[in-house]
Amino acid sequence: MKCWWYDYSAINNRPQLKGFSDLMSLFINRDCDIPNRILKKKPTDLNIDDVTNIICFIHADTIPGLTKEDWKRIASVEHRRYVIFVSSHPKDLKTHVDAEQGINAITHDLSKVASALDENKIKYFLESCAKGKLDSSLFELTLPEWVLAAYLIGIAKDNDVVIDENALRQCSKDGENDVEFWDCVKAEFNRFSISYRMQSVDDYPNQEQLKSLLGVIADKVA
Amino acid sequence: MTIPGIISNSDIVRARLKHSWLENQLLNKTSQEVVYLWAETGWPALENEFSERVKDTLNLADDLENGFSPAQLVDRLAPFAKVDQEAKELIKQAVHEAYLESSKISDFRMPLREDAMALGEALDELHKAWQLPVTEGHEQILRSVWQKVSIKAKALHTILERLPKGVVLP
Repeated sequence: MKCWWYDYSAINNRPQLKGFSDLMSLFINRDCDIPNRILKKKPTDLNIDDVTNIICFIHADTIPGLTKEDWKRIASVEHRRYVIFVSSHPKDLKTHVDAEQGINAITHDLSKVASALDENKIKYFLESCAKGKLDSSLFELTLPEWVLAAYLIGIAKDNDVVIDENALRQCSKDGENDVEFWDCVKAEFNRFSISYRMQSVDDYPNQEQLKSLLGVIADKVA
Repeated sequence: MTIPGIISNSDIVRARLKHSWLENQLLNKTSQEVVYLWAETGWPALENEFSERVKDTLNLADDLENGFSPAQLVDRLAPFAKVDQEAKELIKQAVHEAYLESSKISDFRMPLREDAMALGEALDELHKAWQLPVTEGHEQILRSVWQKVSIKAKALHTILERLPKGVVLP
């Protein structure tokens, strides 16, 4: 899969929308064949018919003389062409999503979405696109996986499941030293708790439940 | 609670049935529009697709407990990658049982099956009425059957709306 980045507001190939650059860097910095392409052509000027395997990130509120409908025409799941709108008003994009036609949107603050991504998630996302089933969960704000894993282990322990703590030791990124599972959980939990306090209610519709969940996890990692 | 941003296959199926099928193909039509399709243009989806959607709904009902279970996360989350299979199975079993208990998801299975089958029967009836020659008398039959389809579709829509919208945590 290749990614194309459309942003008419870009200056010197640097998008001006907050978070768009971060998102782009995350995809480009992966060790894969994704060209750094800030495109300014109109969709009507693109010779798109023969193009396959692309994900077009489109800054939807800086498109002079074009509507979102013009851009939607690029999308074709059959040809693995996807359109993903981004905007400085992400909530407004929800009504434009038509996942079955390959049209998606990032409906959260782009900076927060970008800060929650890692290489594994991006890899999974690209694979889902290649299979024709784009999984947009990458762009949702969610509980970090270490925190979730800790919660599930907590439930298992509450139900008398005995887990060998050694089985939870993890390989470090350099592959040389194991790292403690609970150290990873604590680090991610602290990061997420700080980030969570900065979220708006809209980011988490079930915020009260999430708060209660965080309370449970806080007890477990204390 | 459902976990924001973590999607299960069952949730994708649920969303497709509710939005793409019921809302965009059935509930958005008036009896007048259906009569027009019958008399003028035809409705290929009625002929070819809707029986498949009923089957999809029955499959969703059959896999309801597993489809939204947090047990599936044990195989998906990276922190569990090194955990041996035996321990993973124990964790899965514990979280699945806790989720069944707290979510009462099993309570939805029979109503979902029943509403899907009821809509399937109404659609079969519509399909038969569809074959009738276009006359005023047959139009009344068609309208009456369509009304039944609409009622059954609304019932199914209501229960699909009540299903979880993602993986559920106990």
